[in-house]
Amino acid sequence: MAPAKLTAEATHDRSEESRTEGLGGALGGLRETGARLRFLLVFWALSGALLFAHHYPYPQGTWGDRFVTGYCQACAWLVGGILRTFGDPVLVYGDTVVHSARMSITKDCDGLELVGFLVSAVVAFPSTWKERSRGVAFALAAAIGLNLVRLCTLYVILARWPSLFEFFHVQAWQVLSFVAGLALFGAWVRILRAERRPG
Amino acid sequence: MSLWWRTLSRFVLRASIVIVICLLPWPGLGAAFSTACCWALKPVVGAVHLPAGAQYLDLRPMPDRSHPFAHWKVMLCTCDSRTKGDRTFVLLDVKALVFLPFTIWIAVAFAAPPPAGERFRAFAVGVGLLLGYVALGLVTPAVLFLSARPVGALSVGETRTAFLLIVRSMIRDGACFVPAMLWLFARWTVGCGPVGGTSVNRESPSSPT
Repeated sequence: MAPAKLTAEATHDRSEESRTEGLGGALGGLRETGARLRFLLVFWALSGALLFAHHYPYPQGTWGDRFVTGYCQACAWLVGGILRTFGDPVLVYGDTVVHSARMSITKDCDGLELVGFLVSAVVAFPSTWKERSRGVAFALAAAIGLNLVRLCTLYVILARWPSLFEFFHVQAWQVLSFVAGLALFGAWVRILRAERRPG
Repeated sequence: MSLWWRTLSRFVLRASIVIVICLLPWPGLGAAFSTACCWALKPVVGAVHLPAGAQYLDLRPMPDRSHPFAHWKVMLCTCDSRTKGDRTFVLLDVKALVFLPFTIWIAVAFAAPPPAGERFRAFAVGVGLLLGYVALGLVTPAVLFLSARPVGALSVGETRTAFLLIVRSMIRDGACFVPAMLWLFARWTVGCGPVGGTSVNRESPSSPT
């Protein structure tokens, strides 16, 4: 009978694990309704606040305007550098990348919304502030890196296949950012769980 | 590969397949969808009374379909009661405002792990929330259009107009994330199983007792 009991316990353990693994495992810290709702509430509040702050029409010269303008110009500068590395001799004027096409990185398409959503999800997830701060750094780096890839591909599409630009700009990259955002958040939670596991 | 990675990759793959299938440029889909949107929303639009006697509000598919994305746009316009011609208009992108959120919703619902009962309940209940989000996405530009010159049918004020402009941008940015989060909310409040619904133990097919 003893082996049967052991098997039963092992099965029970696997059953418990299977409840918290899988897609649920990506949100493994959210097994109770209270924690789940708290996660959603914090996510909604924070992402709403960040998006509101991003789209707020800051008067020219204020810190908000300078931040968004500076971010767009930094993106253009980095995109220019990456494209030049790959042999495209582009020029950068402020927030505009020019050579075989002319692409301006403006407030409405700077990709900061992905940063906002990812940072909100990381902060909303139940963890310590130390884990959160590392998560925010990870989210910022990943989202900005992904956005640079997005901008580079958009420039290439605009230069070579201009008729496809709107599709990629408005739809394809929006969906790709969403899927990548989910995957990045899942990856961060996975890293977090691996770090927390004893031994 | 752990169960976690398997389930996550299965989820992402299944959701991506649904999204790609829905977003492929199927011939006639855009025109049919925008016409259906016009048909569904026409009673709502028709109930709005404009102050100027010779005008009424109408919603129609975009007449010039030469541009590939024109199929997905509908035109909210003020019309002359006698000539039926449009005077001023605003274009609403029903692909971004309606089709994309529903695509994400269906993709997430389809890709989420079983049990199917929870998925169905969450889908049915949560679709009301999604409709609210989609309605907000359509109403915001409509209110902005009706309050701006030359229509001026609504008096909104500068502060509220600025607020609505921000909301419009936020809705556009959240076209993918908001439906996914609404799905999670529906699943967690309506669905009674654990997160992701993996209450069915696939690792242990039979009980040893």
